[in-house]
Amino acid sequence: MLKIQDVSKTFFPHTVNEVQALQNIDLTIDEGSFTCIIGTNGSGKSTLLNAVAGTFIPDSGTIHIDGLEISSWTEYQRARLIGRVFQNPFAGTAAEMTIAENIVLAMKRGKMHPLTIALNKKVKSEISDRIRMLKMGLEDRLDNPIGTLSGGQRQALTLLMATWLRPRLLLLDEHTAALDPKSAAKIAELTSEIIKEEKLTALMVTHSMQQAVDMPDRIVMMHRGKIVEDYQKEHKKRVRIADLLDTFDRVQKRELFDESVAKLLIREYI
Amino acid sequence: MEIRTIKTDKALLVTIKERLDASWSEYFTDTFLEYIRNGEHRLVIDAQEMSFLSSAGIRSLLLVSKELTKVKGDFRIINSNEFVANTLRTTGFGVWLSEAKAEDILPATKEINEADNLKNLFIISKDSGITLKLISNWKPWENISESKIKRVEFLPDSFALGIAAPPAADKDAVLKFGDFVSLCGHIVYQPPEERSRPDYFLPMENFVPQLQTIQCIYAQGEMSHLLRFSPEENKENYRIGELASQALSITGSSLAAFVILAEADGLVGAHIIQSPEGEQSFTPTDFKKLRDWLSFSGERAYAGEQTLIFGVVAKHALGGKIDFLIPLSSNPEIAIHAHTTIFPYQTLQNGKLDLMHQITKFFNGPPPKGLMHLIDDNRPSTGLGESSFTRGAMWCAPAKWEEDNV
Repeated sequence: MLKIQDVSKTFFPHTVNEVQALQNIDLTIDEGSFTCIIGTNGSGKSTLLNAVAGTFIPDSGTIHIDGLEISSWTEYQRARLIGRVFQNPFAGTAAEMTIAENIVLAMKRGKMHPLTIALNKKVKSEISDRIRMLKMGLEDRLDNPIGTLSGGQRQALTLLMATWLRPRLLLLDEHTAALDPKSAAKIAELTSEIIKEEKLTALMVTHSMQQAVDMPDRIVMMHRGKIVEDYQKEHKKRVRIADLLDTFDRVQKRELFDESVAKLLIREYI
Repeated sequence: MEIRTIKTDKALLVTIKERLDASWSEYFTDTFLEYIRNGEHRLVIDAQEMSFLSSAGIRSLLLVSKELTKVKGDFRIINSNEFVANTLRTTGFGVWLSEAKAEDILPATKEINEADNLKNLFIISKDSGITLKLISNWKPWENISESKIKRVEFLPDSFALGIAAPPAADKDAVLKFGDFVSLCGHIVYQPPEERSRPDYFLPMENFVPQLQTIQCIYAQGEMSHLLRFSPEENKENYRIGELASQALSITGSSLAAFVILAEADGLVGAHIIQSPEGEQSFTPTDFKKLRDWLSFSGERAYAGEQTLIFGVVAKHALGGKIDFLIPLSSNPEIAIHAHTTIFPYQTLQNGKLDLMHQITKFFNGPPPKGLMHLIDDNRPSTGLGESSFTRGAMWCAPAKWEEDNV
């Protein structure tokens, strides 16, 4: 469904600030699968999501969705296929517009003539029904400006808006990180529910090991722009938080394995 | 709640002030388990100022009592007020109450010599000794020919360390060689993959665990001495080299075998993560290649966990089979080869311990968490040093090499 082939991206090349954010990434995501990307700060998780979303064009490599090569498509062109939820709960909605107006925009995302739908009774009733599933009582506040809602409520609506048209791919970029623990748990639960019910293909970046273990059916671990671990199928099912922490530990230990360690081991082990 | 302690030569006297209820029970339990971990196995609670005891508090007392039973310790409550005494009696825990007075326990604080109390040497069997055999002698990274692979049975009176693979069901299957340690016929083997957890094999009825070894120092016999060690004033831990030197001096030998069961202060070691293969020779000239073959702990690991080590130590001047014993950087007078397995922490009883009983206890508990070939990391400035231990026990015996064994 999503095929990332040999994708690389270097920021500030040939300068002292050069960062090899993505290094020859190969990743194939199957239709209907929910993949979580974890990794240390600066490992390239969000950069990979942004490469898929079209925030920038990679230096090399290709990206396909449903067999279509989208590598050179702009961000807004890709929006026809991709729904996104960001870390900032205020990023995906228009604060001055009402809940209903925001939803109407989401209903026409990626289409020509986005402002043709009127907020008639039928549309409002459909919006109300879908919002009811959030179990936040927002179905009775459709005419309230979205800016009056809490961060958790706004993120729930952003999630609903991003999945309203059943995107081919849903990108979630640490979408619970800026919420309080209770709201974060609620949004995580909603995310799993929506992905399962709508049978969506999703790619989520998170720092929460608990979410990584509980929510997806595949975990990809990144470090310094590379994929260093990929837990799938039975391996994913048996994985626990302690295993993920062990893997982080192992990756970092490997980095500490320098020439001096090699000399030590040649003397002490070999 | 307020907890005050006075250490005496008879027990640790703990005064509890105010409520022992649901809000404080967890803190109370953790505090008392820490006392037990520190070797305080005779605990006396002065409950005169305990103003309330709830069911949650009783549960904590029960947990402490059970933990002490495991290490043959003792637990009493003295000076209890009427409310506490009635609560304990009516709930069926009156047996903890004692008529003793705090004064009976208090004196003699000044006379305690903690070091003498806790650091003890026991002679198990003066004439015992260990016979060592170098059963297989592959050296990393030689080719592995058929003749290098020796099948070994691990008998109940044996100890061993080296590199081996479990016997495969199919004779054509590729053997996965990884580090192992064997203690009294119980084996822990580290599969040569980064993700894998250590596997283990226990002797049961007619089942004698076996391995296909390519490197194996096999020891058979009985340990002659037991040394108990614990923190002392100005000495918080014991390095592996120190303990190994002690094994030589206790046994009066230039070659000794030892088993250490101890709480780790920090372990430094490595293990194989890629099985060496038959025809493929490998020269570790490039460190990037070497790190595909060996995993290094990279830090002082497993602090607070229980380690079970088998090792051989010799005075470096011995020569010969010394090839498999590596001179200790911090003390080149001795050479060591030691493998450790790591288990989740369990409290050890004070005093004399039976080796077989302890090994059986650990292998029948939660599974091992790791396995390492211990290494003395003396790299300038970045070196992690030797593995060290907080408290525990070391069994040792004089050893001799059996001739004609390779």
